[in-house]
Amino acid sequence: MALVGNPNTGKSTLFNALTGMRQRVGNFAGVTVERVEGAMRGPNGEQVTIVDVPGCYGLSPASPDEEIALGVLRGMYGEPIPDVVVVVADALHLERNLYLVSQVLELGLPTIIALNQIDAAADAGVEVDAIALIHELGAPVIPTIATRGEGLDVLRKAMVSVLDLPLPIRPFSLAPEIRDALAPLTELLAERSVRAPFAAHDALRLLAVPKLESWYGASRDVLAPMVDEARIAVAAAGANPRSLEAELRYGWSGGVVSRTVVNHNVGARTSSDRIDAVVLHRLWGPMLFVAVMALVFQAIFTWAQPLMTGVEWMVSQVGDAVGSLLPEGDLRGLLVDGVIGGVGSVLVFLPQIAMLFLFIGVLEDSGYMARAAFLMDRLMRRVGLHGKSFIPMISGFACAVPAIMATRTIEEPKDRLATIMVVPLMSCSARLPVYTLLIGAFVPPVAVLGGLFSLQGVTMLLMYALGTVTALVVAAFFKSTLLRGPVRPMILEMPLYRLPNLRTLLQNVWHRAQMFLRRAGTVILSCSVILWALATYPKTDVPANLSAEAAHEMQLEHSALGHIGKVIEPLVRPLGYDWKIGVSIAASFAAREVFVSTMGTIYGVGEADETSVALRQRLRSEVNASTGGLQYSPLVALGLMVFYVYALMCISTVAVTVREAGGGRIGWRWAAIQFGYMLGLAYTAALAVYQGGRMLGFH
Amino acid sequence: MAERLIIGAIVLAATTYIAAKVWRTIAAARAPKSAGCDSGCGCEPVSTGSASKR
Repeated sequence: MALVGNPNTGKSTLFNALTGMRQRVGNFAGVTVERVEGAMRGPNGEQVTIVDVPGCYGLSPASPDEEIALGVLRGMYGEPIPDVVVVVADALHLERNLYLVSQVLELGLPTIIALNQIDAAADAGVEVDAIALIHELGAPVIPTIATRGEGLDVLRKAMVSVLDLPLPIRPFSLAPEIRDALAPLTELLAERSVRAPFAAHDALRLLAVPKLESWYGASRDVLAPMVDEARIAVAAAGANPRSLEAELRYGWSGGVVSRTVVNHNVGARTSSDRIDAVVLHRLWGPMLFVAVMALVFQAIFTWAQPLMTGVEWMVSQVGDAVGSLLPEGDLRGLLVDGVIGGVGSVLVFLPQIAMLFLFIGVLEDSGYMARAAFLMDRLMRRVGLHGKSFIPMISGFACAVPAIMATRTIEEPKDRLATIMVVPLMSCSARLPVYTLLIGAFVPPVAVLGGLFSLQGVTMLLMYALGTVTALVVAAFFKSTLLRGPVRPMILEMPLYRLPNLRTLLQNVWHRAQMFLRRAGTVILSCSVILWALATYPKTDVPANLSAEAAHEMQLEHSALGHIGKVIEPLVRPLGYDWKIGVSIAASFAAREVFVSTMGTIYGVGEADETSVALRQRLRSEVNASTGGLQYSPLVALGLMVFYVYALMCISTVAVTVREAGGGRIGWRWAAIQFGYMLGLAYTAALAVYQGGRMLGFH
Repeated sequence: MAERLIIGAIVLAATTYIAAKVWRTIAAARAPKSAGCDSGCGCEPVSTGSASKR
């Protein structure tokens, strides 16, 4: 069974309610950009496979995500044709949704209409007569409120009973002269279609399609002249072939709505309109956007601090307990310094990660995300993109991988590629532990801007702003060089504002926290073990007269990690880093958080006493053995943060860029360009910060 | 000796895990067009039943 519908009609919410899964949902168009399959039990206990697909406005795909939806519906790319199609239609915007409904109906597959969000429609004074709609469409119409699970039992029953109903047909008829004009093309398509109704549907649809889609394969050579002939015949019959389909479908849907929908509040200003008067205001809108972002990062830093201190205390207690239970030896070192020191130093950032996803969830669920895209449209135009590219960029604050996939909603291939190239510049959640560690260690918690914000929160905001501004500059560069192309107008649906669902929000935060913990317990744990081994072996003979601290330092320098670090050190020395930071940076190519765990392991290995000290304190007090001064300074920390703003240290991002940029050699080429320019930018910027700062007298 | 063996086994397991993870991630670059996110960054759906993405 396939779930299709316009974007932001609640398909994924319905999918989650039917399958018990927790597919990502949000109050903006383009949340789902992939095909997701789940299973549910039918009314008679039978197993039903449900496929959730990206939203689409029609069956002529304009973007890669719409193509995925069409692939599922028409049984392309190795997909079986679904036994039942559920079209999720937004009750509040029925006229627009009926365009797609009419297209799906004429495919002749068993079809059910889930009339969703009837509560939002009722709140807006819109009443839909579902019974009358059934008669108009010739298919079952089930009113649902997916967020509350209402109507789902009826929907489940309908999924079975619809198989006994007559198959739906085109809900409007063509004038005889139009039908005759399309007849030769329909016959040709029927010979090459897997289902006869697809041919009739395509014959009408192809009139407006500028270029035949790739799925027609070799048939395109035969089809193209026939489509041209059909256009001439349609024009001779007195109709405009380019607009015929839209005119027929919207003409029909307008008639259906006039007979089935009553709007008690025609022309009235909704609460969303009133909020938009401020949120989308030319002056207040951008100011509000900056204020919201400042609040988010301030909150992440300050509100999560007590929780972070709590986790830090717990980790140190566990480390001390394990240290006192085990006898002296390498196994104790592995568990205390490698595992607890490494993983624990990353785990302490769990509260910040949870807080970040809570705020992202609020922005997505409230409907503000689409407004942010609208606000940024003017700025994005200056760099050659449009506001739609800003949605994947904001998603990049969570993780670059789904953000790159979210670019599937962008129609223009060059705009899409330019967006893919800059999305990893947006600071993702994996950078958060690095920023928080360094800011916590080196930026004093002094109040700024009249006590409204702390310097630490402002520094964090500046790191995110630096990534965002640079992303815009780099996008402008790509759009004026390798990816030059026209700027197209943006069409973006503004969803109604709504209060975020607390349960969904908390579920999402819990899910993200689980993922973070899983990552800490797998990738970061494994890296910590490997790095501990490299930092511990081979053993060196330490003179007995050395202090414990000096003996530790000597062992570390003569370890495999120390040798690797010394090879890397000349490369990072101009940036003000020692070999320890050098190896931590190198190790973090596996995952950015590994920088923190590596530092945790390095500073844990062979500690003079076996009591764990917070990594932040260790970094602050680390002494340079040769100079006797402090090893790390705020300037070094700032340069390091700037390095992490720009460096692409994520294999998953590279892999997804390869795939989304076209795959194969083309994909690898773009991924190499992306990795190369970001690493070059990171090195140059960190060098400029450190050397520039020194020239200005900072240390 | 036993301690060294245990440590060796743990380090070997960690190295194998990371190597396999890197291999799987790079192989994801060849995934089909409609494939989803399996990066482990928290964007994949949580399943309480059977689920798959292609």
